[in-house]
Amino acid sequence: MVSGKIRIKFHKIGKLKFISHLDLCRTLKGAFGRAGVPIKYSQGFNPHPKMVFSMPLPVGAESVCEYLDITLTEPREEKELIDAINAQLTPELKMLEIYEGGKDFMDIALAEYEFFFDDLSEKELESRLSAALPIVKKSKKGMIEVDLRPKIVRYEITEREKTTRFHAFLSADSNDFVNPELLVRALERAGDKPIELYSIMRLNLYTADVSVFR
Amino acid sequence: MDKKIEAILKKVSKPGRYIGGEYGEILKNKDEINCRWAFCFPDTYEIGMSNLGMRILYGALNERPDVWCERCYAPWPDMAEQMKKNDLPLWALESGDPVKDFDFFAITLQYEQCFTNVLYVLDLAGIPQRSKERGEEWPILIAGGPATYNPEPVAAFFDLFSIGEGEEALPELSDLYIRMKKEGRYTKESFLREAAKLGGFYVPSLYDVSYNEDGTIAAITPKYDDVPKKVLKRIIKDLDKVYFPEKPVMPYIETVHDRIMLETFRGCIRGCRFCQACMIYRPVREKTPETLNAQAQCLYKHTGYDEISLTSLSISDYTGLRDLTEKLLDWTEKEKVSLSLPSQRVDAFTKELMERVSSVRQSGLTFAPEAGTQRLRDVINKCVDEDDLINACNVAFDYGKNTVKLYFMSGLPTETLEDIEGIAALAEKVVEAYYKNPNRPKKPPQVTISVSCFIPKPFTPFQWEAQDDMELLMKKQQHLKDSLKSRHVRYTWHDAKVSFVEAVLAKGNRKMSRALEEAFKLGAKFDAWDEFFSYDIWMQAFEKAGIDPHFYANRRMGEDEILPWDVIDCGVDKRFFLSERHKAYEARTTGNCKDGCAGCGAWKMGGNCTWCPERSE
Ligand code: B12
Ligand code: SF4
Ligand code: SF4
Repeated sequence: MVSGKIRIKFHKIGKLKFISHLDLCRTLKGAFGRAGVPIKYSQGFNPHPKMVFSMPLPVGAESVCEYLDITLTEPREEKELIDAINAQLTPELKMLEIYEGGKDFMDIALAEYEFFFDDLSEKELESRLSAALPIVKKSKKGMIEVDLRPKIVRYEITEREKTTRFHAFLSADSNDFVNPELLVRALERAGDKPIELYSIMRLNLYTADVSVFR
Repeated sequence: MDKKIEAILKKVSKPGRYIGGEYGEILKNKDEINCRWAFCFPDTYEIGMSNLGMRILYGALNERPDVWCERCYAPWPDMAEQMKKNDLPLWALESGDPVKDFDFFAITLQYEQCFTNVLYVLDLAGIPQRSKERGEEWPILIAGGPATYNPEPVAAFFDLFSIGEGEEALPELSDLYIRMKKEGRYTKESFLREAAKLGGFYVPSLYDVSYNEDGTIAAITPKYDDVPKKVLKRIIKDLDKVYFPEKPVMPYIETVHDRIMLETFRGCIRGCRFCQACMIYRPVREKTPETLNAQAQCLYKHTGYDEISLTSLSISDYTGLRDLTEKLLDWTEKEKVSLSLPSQRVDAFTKELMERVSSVRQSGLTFAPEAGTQRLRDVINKCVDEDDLINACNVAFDYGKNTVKLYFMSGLPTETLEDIEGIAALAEKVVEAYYKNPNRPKKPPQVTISVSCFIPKPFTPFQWEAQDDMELLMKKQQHLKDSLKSRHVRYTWHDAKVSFVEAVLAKGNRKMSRALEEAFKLGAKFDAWDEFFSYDIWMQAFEKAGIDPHFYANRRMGEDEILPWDVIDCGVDKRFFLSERHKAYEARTTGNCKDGCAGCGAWKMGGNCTWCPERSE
């Protein structure tokens, strides 16, 4: 049984990577409604279900480790709740786990990603990673330049059948979050050919002591 | 998902439009399918997904286990550019297969401004645009919807048209197709010939059109004896019994009407003389409150939407309105579901409505008196008077509203500058009423008048009329501006150029196909979108096609002239349109069906009509 504030782990994969955060919220709201999830609504003029998400996921990237907090107004059995929600969704957006008492979202420090590049060889990628990877970012002080290279904490590159796998741990501190899509754009600018055929998958989140976040 | 498609989806705006895979989408095993439909709404996904007709037909076709109907929409130009660059022909959302490989490619035509988008989607699909250029290997191209009542402007592109309501017609057509294929006697030609005999299907290639020297039509002649001289539209006889989709596809991205649409009835009892929708959807057939309440509950369960919109052409004429809202409010209030009524007529706007229907409470008020003087309102048979309007406004003011929006039309038959001044006067009377109302809120009033240009439409009493020429429309526009004194009245005017092109297309004959092709070649697309409509393109296109647009828009047609759309029978008699036209010129009104049958002829379509007299011979 779970009750009160609960955490849901879910994946957003396949075509669903093209759904924006706002549309994801609408979709989940609808699914929770249809599944009869006793979700707590916000107070106020225009009440809406309270949902807090772990970390932004850029449109175009997949993830098997998304987290969402909601509050139940009545206790529910975990498996029944998961099945009820999943019955209202398509397999590419799927609730994986439901539990109480997750860690604080502020504790997330690192995110593990798997990139696949079709138009970037192992050697080429290595060479681009050997220099700075500047991007321009909006900040409170206006546009500033940031080097993403130091934020790639650890990585590994393998190549198979002309596809390069880039397995990387990127900084994911709440105020130093690396957008994996922007990393690809920075890698692209480091060369002279566009990077078009690639995929991004978020695999796991970690806290500062490198234990798995959940 | 195909890697090339993925790569381009990363580059375009709103990629969610192109992925399909929504909850409620219907997937089937291709091996068990004998007939594949690609159903297209030729505008964006957000608009197309809001169309109930397509939702219904998608479900109705998919009811059959051996038929699979999929959806597609017009890709936005940024996507179109990428598709062309990467050699990706338009595909259907469910299977991802190119629509050019389907058995049928169906397009719904809701209004004339989407005609160029027909060419646009065909081009993207890699399908030859002219039906003559398509052999057996291409899908059969079919159109339906309100803008097919005059199919002639797009007749060169489609193999056939389904006139009227499609719930029964389309499954029948699939049946015929499957049967002929099984029996080994299918050829496109023989199929179209058989389809023409099913009733409600217009196959343009089976008719010859000849012209007089002055450009008017001399004759529309079927090529064979077994081809009907006139194609009578189809209607659903009993809306309580017809298929209705209870598990619609749930879009991921926000659409225009992202809510439950509960269609209460079809047709309209009013008979405003400019209104095409009224006539083509007649006779009026209602669903019972019981059916609707059950459907609403079912839809709520399957969609989780928190808003129900009661739709129809004139919702306050629904006889079961009170009963239905009561039944709905019984459970919707508990479930925090709100009710909305889209359009309001002034004579039906009451305190009770204001209190019970949230959409009325929340949004500003809109009324459509359509004309500025009682005389002209009588001409167009818009049976509301000034008192109705002022009363309705007062109800709103009582409830703390200070904004009202009024819709008018300019260029109506017999209109004079006095009628234009009447628009200004009416708006100012509303302002006056506001200040006289002791319960008014402590804000200044704001009355917006929105004026569009009259467009004579086929199958209306005004189908013979000429549109005012642009100069006159602009003069009237200026005159209205000059007549307005109150600073509480805001004034917006529709672009007369857009209305002119719409009038040309609405009243066009087969020669118009060439102009459409030329316009498309010059880049016309998404003509309903301000950012794409280009008057210059259209004028060039008409010239290149050797078409004088004024012949269509600004010429009064003769009452004994053969009209391009005479090959279609919308159920309402031409005789009735004529007599209505004559009454209009005498400013005589005709009562609505509730007050007594006006003899429009729609009763002979049969069915479970709410007001029509019993068939008596
Ligand atoms: C919902 C709605 C919208 C929505 C959704 C889009 C849409 N067209 O549905 C929105 C708000 C976006 C919209 C916008 C506009 N709309 Co609108 N809209 C309606 C409305 C209220 C309901 C449509 C509907 O769902 N009808 C119910 C279904 C069951 O009927 P149906 O669509 O006709 O489908 C049946 C048959 O026609 C047939 N059929 C239809 N398609 C096909 C295709 C094939 C292949 C076959 C075989 C059969 C078939 O079978 C269906 C089932 O019986 C109608 C008014 C009305 N009540 O009908 C106006 C209406 C269709 N809209 C109209 C107009 C003018 C517009 C706008 C141009 C307004 C504007 N100035 O911006 C825009 C254009 C945008 C667009 N691309 O359509 C006019 C069209 C008039 C005309 N033909 O000239 C109508 C008739 C309103 C009116 N009284 O004037 N609209
Ligand atoms: S009330 Fe008039 S304008 Fe409205 S649908 Fe009916 S006939 Fe048309
Ligand atoms: S036949 Fe009579 S009652 Fe029926 S729609 Fe026509 S005018 Fe109305």
